[in-house]
Amino acid sequence: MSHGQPIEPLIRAEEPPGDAVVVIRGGPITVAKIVEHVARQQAVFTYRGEPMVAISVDLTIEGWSLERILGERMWSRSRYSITTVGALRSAGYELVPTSKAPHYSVVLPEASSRAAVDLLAHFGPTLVNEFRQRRR
Amino acid sequence: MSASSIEVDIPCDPQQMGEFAMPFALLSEARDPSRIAVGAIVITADDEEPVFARVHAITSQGDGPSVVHLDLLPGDPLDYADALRRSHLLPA
Repeated sequence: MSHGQPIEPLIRAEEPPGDAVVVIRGGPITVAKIVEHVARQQAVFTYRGEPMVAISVDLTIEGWSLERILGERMWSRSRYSITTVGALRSAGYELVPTSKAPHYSVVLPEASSRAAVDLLAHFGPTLVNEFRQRRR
Repeated sequence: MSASSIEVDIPCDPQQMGEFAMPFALLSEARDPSRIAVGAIVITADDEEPVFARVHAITSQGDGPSVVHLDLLPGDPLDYADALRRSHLLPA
């Protein structure tokens, strides 16, 4: 039995996003950072009774344009990368609407560098966030 | 800022949201856990793009880890440093 906090009470009840919805991950876009953040999620939360192996992303769901997400959610990040719900879904990833919109958790098959590499392969090139509140 | 010389107080993923709909960190990952208290101002995120945050709450579930909930403060930390110098709260 896992001793983390169940994520289930924090799952929003909403319609699954369409395949065309954009998925945004803020920088640094590196395998090491994905592994680090997954480990933190796994330490704190469980999903279906097991440690939750997942990484946070934001989705362009209703009311949340890419520009709004970059300015309000990613303001501290100078770089980001995007993919689509359809790309992740067709590759077998589960997207769970957790905490507050537009936040989602992408469930990974395992907490490993290999899993992080596989996930990042579905994202496009690293882009500059023109809405950042940073000097560089 | 040179990333190699930056040391955050407590690392987090600014995009990750937990039970308070704000980023969270593990107390065990703090550089000096004794400095992490509710209301404390800390440097968080990562050494490439650090940000200021105020510690909103520290929670734990059963024998799980102590979780630090972070209210991110807007803007670049260097903007705060500039403002402090302008007002002579810090030496120029």
